[in-house]
Amino acid sequence: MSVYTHKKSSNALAPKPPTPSSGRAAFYDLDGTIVDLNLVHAAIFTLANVGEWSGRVAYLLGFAARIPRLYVAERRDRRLLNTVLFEAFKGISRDRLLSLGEEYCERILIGHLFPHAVELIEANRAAGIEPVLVTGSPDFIVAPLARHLGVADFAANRFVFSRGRATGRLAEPVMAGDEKAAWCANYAAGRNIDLANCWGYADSHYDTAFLANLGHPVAVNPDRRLRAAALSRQWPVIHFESAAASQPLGDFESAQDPKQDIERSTRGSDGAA
Amino acid sequence: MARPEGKLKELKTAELRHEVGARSDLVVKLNRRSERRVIPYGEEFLFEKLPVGTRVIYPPPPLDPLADPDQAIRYAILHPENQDPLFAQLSPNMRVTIAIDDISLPLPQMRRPDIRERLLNQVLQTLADYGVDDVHLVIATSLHRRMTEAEIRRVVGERAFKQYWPDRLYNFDAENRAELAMLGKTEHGEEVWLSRRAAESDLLIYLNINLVPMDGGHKSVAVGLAPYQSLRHHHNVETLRDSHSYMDPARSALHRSSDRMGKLIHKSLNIFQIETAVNTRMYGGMLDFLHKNEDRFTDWDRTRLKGFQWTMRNLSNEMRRNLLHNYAAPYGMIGVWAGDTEAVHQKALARVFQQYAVPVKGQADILIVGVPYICPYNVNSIMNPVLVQCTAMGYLFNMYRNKPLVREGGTLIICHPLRDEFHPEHHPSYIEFFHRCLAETTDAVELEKKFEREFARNPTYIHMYRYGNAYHGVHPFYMWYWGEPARQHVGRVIAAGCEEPEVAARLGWEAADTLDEAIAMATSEQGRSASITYLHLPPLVIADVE
Repeated sequence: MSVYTHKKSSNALAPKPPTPSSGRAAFYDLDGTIVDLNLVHAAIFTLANVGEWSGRVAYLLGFAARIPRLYVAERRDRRLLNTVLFEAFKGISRDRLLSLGEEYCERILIGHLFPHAVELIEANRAAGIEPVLVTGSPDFIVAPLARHLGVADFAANRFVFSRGRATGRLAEPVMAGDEKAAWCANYAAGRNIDLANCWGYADSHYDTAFLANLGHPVAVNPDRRLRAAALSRQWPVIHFESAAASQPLGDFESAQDPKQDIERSTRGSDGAA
Repeated sequence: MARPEGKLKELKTAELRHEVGARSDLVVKLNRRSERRVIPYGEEFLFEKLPVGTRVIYPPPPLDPLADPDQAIRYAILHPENQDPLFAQLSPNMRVTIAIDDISLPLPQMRRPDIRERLLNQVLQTLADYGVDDVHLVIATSLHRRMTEAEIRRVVGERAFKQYWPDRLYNFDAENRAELAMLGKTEHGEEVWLSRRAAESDLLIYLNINLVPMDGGHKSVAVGLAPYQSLRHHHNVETLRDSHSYMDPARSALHRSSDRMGKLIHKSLNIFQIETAVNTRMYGGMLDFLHKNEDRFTDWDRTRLKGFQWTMRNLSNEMRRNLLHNYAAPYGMIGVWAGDTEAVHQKALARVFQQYAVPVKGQADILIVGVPYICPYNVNSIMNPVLVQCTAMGYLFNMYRNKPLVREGGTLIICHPLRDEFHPEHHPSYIEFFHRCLAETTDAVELEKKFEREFARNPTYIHMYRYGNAYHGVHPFYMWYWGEPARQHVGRVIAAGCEEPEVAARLGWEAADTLDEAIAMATSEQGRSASITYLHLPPLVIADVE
């Protein structure tokens, strides 16, 4: 089982012991679910900034050569897509990936978070539902994002390194399809969480098994096949809009105590009462 | 200036036809030669032979609509009940909020121009004439789903939409805590919350449509612009069990509670209520035969019915739904009143009862109702099993004054295919309610105690309500409570034509493949001499049961 627990000072990529359980968890896919970018964008950014111009060109050409395979892989199997995509990272040093991951998160990813997704994560957290990220993105990108969102645990794909350089292979388990479901089951078992009480949010039909494993699956901005699955399985469908398209509607607070609700609103209504 | 409704007095024949006492022909007892009866059955209509002796209650014919609705609206605004005319209440620097009934009324949606568009155009013109600029238009959705842009545009019309959308024309948001204000508590301890914008306005104008007597009055503002914190005081099992019926406001604890809240609101707000009533012209053109007594069907009527049935049978569920929900009813406005809420509502109620009430002698052992494709909570959406329950047991059962149409311990037969089908964006919490809560218990008190608060505060459902087009998380509970008086009253509920018996079982009902089988099941218990009543729909009818 590969559980990552975020910690401020140490290596964020190293597996950590499980954190105490709150009894309920919400598992979020990343690409297309809480950010309006995808894995390929992250890969291109990384390869385009990896080193000297000559190196960048070589990596990008290598990536371009993989496009037909990536297309076929995307149509057939998400695990294969991840495997083919991350082969392009072969030879990049671990420290460079870590710094690029930080940069990508800070410069790009955070700006592309769906504002309503962030609100929902916060609202769930306020309701005692702990957020967990479960994604096929590489850990060097997910770790800084998890830190930004205050998410303690996440599951992401990890590269196999040799002498400090990526080998182009992914460590098992590769986070895609059924593996996500298995990871969630292990995660829940380790924390004595009942998956029937857990929520799951994802956007792709490859995540059907992941969502089906949870008591409260939600299809977010679903692709055509996930939408069909959601309709037939009667899963709620939710739409997040990008920051540019969404309009803030006001404060979102999810108080658990009715007295708190009343006090909060009473304070606000002095002028009208 | 003569009141336009006054012209109706001249229409002697129509007037006589609509005297409640002169409506004995609207209650028909079937004999051997009687024609089969049209019965709503989801997105289809059945044409079924009912047992000899069955009593069929027909809605009164539509009252004649006002000849010039715009003139009538002008008259109402200039001659309000117990208030100064609207123009006399205006000053340039004042803050005005106009609240508008949402998509749940009327059913089906009415042909354009919608009554609300007519009202808005006149009210907005008056406000503009008197220099009032600070005007907001709020769709009074309460915990209903947000109306979409296209739906709002259709209801308010191009003029208001272009001028006010989206900054000053929007859906009420019952979960935006910053936009709610608590006005106080009633003498019964009910907390009264309201839209802050409305509460802080110098004048609140409410634009209403009364489809049935349950609508309008204090309920418009006290419910339409209120959040869960207010609604839980009357949308609960105890209150609804004490409502006999929802269509008889004088005997409805629900209305008593919303009246108390409304009175408290009136102490701090200046409200100018505009209420309208529509006639029963629900279907026109090729579908006008649906209003007829089947014994008077012509060959052309039968051909149209068969054509309609064939078309519906051969379309996919989605196409059928689109076709039906796009249909617009040729409702006619039969009255408009403005001014003080209570005075206005009394006049509107009288008119609504004049349109809907039919005197009926005695209760029946078995009541048959057909549930159509639409109810207030599935406009442009799917009629899921919880809503079928609400429509049959909450609305159709309650279409009475004095006594229910079926005797205590009697049998209610509900015609609907009853499929396990939900809209994932409009009714997400209904899915969990049906599959999780109802699987555990159908006892409303237990559901209320055990699950209501969890659903009401569920972050995902709140999110979908605020940013999507979902009904609030607590809404399926209200739909279940709505059927509580019927559940307390009837002894047995049978779903006739049920395609998925496990759905009926989940609702606590029995299932029958056909209406004949359902009637046989009911008479096996009630006896062969059991009296049967069929409440004919469409359109709507309210039985004054003696």
